[in-house]
Amino acid sequence: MMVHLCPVGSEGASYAMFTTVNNCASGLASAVSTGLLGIWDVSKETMVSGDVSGMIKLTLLTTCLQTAGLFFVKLLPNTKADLATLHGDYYSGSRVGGFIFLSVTILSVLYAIVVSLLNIIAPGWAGES
Amino acid sequence: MNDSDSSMEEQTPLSLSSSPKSRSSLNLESITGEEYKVYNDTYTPNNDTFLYRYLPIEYVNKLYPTNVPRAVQLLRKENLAVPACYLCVGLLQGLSGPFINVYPIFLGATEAQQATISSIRSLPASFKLVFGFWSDNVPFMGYRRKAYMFIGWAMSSAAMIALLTFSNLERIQIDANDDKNNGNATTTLVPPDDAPSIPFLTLSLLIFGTGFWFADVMGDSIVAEKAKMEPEACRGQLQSTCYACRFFGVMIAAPISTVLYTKFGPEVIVTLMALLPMIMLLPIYSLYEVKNAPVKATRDQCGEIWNTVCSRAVWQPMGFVYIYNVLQVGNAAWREFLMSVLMFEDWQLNSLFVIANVLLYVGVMAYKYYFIKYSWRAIYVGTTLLNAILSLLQILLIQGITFGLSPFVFALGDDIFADFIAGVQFLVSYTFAQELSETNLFIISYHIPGIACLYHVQCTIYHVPVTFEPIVLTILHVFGDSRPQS
Repeated sequence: MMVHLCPVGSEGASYAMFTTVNNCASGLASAVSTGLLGIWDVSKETMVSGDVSGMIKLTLLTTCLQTAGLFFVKLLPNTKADLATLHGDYYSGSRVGGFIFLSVTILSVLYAIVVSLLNIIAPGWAGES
Repeated sequence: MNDSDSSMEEQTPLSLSSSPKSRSSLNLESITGEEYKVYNDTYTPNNDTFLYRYLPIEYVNKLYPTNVPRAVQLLRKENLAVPACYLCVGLLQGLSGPFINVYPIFLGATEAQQATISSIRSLPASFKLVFGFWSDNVPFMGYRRKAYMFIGWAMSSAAMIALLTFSNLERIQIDANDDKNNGNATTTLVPPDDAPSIPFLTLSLLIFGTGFWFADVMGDSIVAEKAKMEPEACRGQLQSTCYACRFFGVMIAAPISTVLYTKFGPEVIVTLMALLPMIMLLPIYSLYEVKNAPVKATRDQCGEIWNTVCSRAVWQPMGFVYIYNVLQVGNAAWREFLMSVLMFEDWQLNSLFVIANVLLYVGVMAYKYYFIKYSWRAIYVGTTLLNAILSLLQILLIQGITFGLSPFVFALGDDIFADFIAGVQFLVSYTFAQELSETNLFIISYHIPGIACLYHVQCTIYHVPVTFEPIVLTILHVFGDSRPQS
């Protein structure tokens, strides 16, 4: 159904663009998730020794982050009427909105490409052995 | 709204037999660009199908629904490549996961090399936009999709054939005394001397991944084009069928791949990864696409995309989806906790993985047939809160409070509901656009390709990580890797 919405003749680019944006969102979440490992001691040795306090704190933190998505839920239209209202809204056709959207898309793609290339050209740059 | 869309809206299944556009047969070889619109609007009574002579008509009509134009009947010879492409993508995702994540470790790849291989695998996906834009603008041999899909799968197949041909993927068994096992002989698997080098393996995977994503983008593009031909009453069936094929492929191939890798080694997996794309070339050859179709000027296409993303109905909901997904930060130490503290065995982690895939699919279906009547916000609020409760239940598991249940059963229940929730969320965005198109707000719907990502996204966000992570961690555990894994 969503595919009905792609401009005729530009289906490939438009569909791929939005797919790319969301893939990058997922990649960023994964990177953050790995980064959080350093906040508390959740190493195997510590957990096996019986100290799971870091694990509990990390679980609480990630739960809070996941639930924080609710603060933005009003950005999502509730009904089709809401969507129609959005399209006819004063801010529809906003170049600023479009620019931010495209910028996030392009920067996300560039970020993914740079990280990938660094991993290929300079293995170990992120601290791996 | 363009002419073809308005004419399709006027079509009804009742007009099947009397419609002047109905044809019992269509010679696709002689069709021209001018006739393409006629082909798109052609409804047939299915008496031109091969199975018509052998099966009762009601069964034939199940296979080739008569309430959609011939161009949207996926099992037609000229359309079969579309669902086959989605199925192949799912099967290859399922098959390749364990191999790509585990085999480099078996070959002795360092952490840095593993990161490189992981990046090589994901790098071509970053160029999907380029692939899509290129195919929109630069037809090859007169075709915008068919030729590139052919090239994509051929590349993937060739890369795996090269890997099979120029290296030895067998695993050699050696017997060794194990001090930890009272000196008894144990069997260890090691790579042969002519096993693929890490650079060669990496190059093969890069070519495979490039072809894979190229073909995937072509499949999406064809569906995007064909979906516009669906009558109002059937909208969504085409895409949901295609994604069902992909889901089915992953669901089946991922556990099978784990078993095959463990029992028979990487050679079988790579052979399958070479054969599947090769088989795809046959339906692609029969795929119908109008040759030398007019292509809009690149400048015009860029302008259309720009106008689309400037609509608030695009950037605001898309902004929500981006932010929401970025915030879905997982607990990267969770699997390590299950393995190291709760001492989960391989079969338990694999069970979680298999059930997760099944429940994800069940969640999708539950939304499609039940939760669809709820508002989009209500779905997100409800599922997010439920997810929070389940996450907090993990704390009980960490503290050993399981209400008499075994930790495995407790964790299993947790995972089942988490994936069920993911499945329910999967189609929210899908409906978002579906209801939009059903309101005849075509001006809006036409200019919101942004929503198109949501369906695809959920597949990537929820499905792929869920699919591969447990397998990888399981095998890493077998290999004695004790690092916290994400």
